Amino acid sequence: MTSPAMTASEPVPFLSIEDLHVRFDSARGVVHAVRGVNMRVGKGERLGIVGESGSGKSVTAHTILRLMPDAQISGRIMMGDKDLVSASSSEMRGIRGRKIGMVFQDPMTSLDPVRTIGSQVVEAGRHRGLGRREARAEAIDLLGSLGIPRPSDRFDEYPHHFSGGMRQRVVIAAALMGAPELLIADEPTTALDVRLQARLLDMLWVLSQERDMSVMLVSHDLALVAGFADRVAVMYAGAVQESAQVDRLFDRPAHPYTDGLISSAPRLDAYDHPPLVPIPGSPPPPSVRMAGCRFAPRCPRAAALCREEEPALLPLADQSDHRSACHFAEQVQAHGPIPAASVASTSHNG
Amino acid sequence: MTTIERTRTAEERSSGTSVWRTIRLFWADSLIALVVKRLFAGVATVLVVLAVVFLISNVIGDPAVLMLPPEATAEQVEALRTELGLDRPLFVQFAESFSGWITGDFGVSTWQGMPALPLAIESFAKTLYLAEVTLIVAVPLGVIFGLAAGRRPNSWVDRLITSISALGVSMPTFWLGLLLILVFAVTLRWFPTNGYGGLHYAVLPACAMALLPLGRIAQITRSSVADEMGKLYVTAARTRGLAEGAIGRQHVLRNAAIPVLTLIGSEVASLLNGIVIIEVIFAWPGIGSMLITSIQQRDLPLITASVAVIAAVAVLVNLIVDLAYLFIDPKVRR
Repeated sequence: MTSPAMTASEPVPFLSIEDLHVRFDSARGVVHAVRGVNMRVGKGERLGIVGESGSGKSVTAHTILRLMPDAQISGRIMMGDKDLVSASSSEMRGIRGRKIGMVFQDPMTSLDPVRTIGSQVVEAGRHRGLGRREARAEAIDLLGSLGIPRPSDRFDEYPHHFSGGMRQRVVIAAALMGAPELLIADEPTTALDVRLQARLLDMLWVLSQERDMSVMLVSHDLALVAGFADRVAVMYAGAVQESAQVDRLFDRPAHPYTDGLISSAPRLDAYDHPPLVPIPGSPPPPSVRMAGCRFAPRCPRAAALCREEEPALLPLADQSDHRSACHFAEQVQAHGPIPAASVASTSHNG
Repeated sequence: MTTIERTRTAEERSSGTSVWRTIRLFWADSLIALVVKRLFAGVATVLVVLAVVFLISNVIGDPAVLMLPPEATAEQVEALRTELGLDRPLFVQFAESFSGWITGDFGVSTWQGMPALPLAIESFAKTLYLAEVTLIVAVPLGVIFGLAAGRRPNSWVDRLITSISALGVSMPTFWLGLLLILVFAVTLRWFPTNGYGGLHYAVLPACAMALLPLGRIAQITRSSVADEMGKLYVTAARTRGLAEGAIGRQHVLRNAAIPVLTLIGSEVASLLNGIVIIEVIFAWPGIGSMLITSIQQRDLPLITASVAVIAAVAVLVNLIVDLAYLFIDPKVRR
């Protein structure tokens, strides 16, 4: 994979993932869940990772902290000059919580039901070397700043005393106690109602700003990511298809899949937006081997080349931090995906 | 919930209108109230069990006929019926027995000629000794095996322990007892074949009885630990930088203990069943042996007293398990 020179506009990467592959052995053969992911997160940058379920976004997020013991990982996950793929488990323990924290989708099950929330929030702080009192004071501060009323009273309560939204705040506080430089949030608001989603993401945004903390927001919700992230990576079938600054990605998508995602998502800010266009078909299962672009069977723009050669994630000619894995990236960006008929007539059936 | 109740209580105390209500509100929330309520329910349970025993002993035939040898004359039977008060209407007999049960008077054992309840309690103490030794073997070993297997599902340790516990669960207790006698008492002569005495005498019967609960506890502990290890809160704790050992001690152990505790409670109860056979095989003079003999002797007071003791113990064990939940599972507390 070619690694283009960084431009001045791009922040210094805190974490960079290079050609990451993740495979699982299953009863029905090897499942190749992540196939050659390339992405980077800058210091203090908010990166959104968008994709359908099964796109490999969550597996990528979990792989960064090496949370799946039976995953076969290849490629590199560089944090500074340390490669997390080859780090020992004790090195990983030092990184988890203190360098990279994580928040999960389901706030109802990501807290231990038989321990007080306080004891769980302080854990990462204690791990960082804080004393008992210091950790408690800091945890109470943090819980308060995340909008939990009377945090010192609620410190000794149990998870079942809290609503879903409140629990997710507790979970975020527990992750932030380790003062991580990167927070991975895997669908952190999916289980919550829409109003809470927005509030929680606002809080997260402010916290990342205050702490100069990078955030990797994994979500299937394009609109949610648009309002939060500085940069977006769109994943499909185990690989990043397009990544760009958030405005640029939405204004001038350079991949038919991104274009399809945008046209199929409802918008609240436009009364007269064009009718929603769903992407036809469904993603290929990760156990299937196929030649060429994995989006080709669903792509309106697919040509013979697309079925033969898998496109690499390459920067666009005019902007090096806008990358697209499409043979026709420039054309898609300029004219939108062309209906299949006009292309099919010029292509030989491959 | 509790805070609301407490403020209300305080208001009422200051106004002084309803002391009774104050007491009731306090009562509703206290641990003592729970224990007292459960004890009352337990006494009721024991009484129902005794009523069933009373009913059965009258259904299976005339107690007087059963007590006397087959060649007894009708006059002899009639005389015994009058002597024991069996000629009165059944409900009068029941009422009399019932008032006896409540006051702890189970009558005089016809076989031993002594008050039945002290006899039953005395032999239960011997059973308790055997049960203690059994539990001291079964519970820690079961939990340790289960933990070792559950921490690494599908490892060779897990496979070994899973097979051993399957063996333990499927082996009939009486057969194992006989096997142990044959190997360790008759052939190797390490332990006495039967009888009551020090720890030496308790080893074989305790081992015979321990294998079943040990296997079950190991199985449940294993699956409970494996379940908990797969839960999201464990992964979340891992992302906070906790070491595996700390995750096990601080998070998994207590969650995994909840189903194991339930099982231990029911194992203790079923131990009291299994002990009857083992006591007969090893001639252990506990409540099991006595229950069997008293049934053979048609000694109704002793049967009733023995059943009462066993039922009361089962009720107490359940109460203790429920109280233990309060300490382990915060959802049970309010």
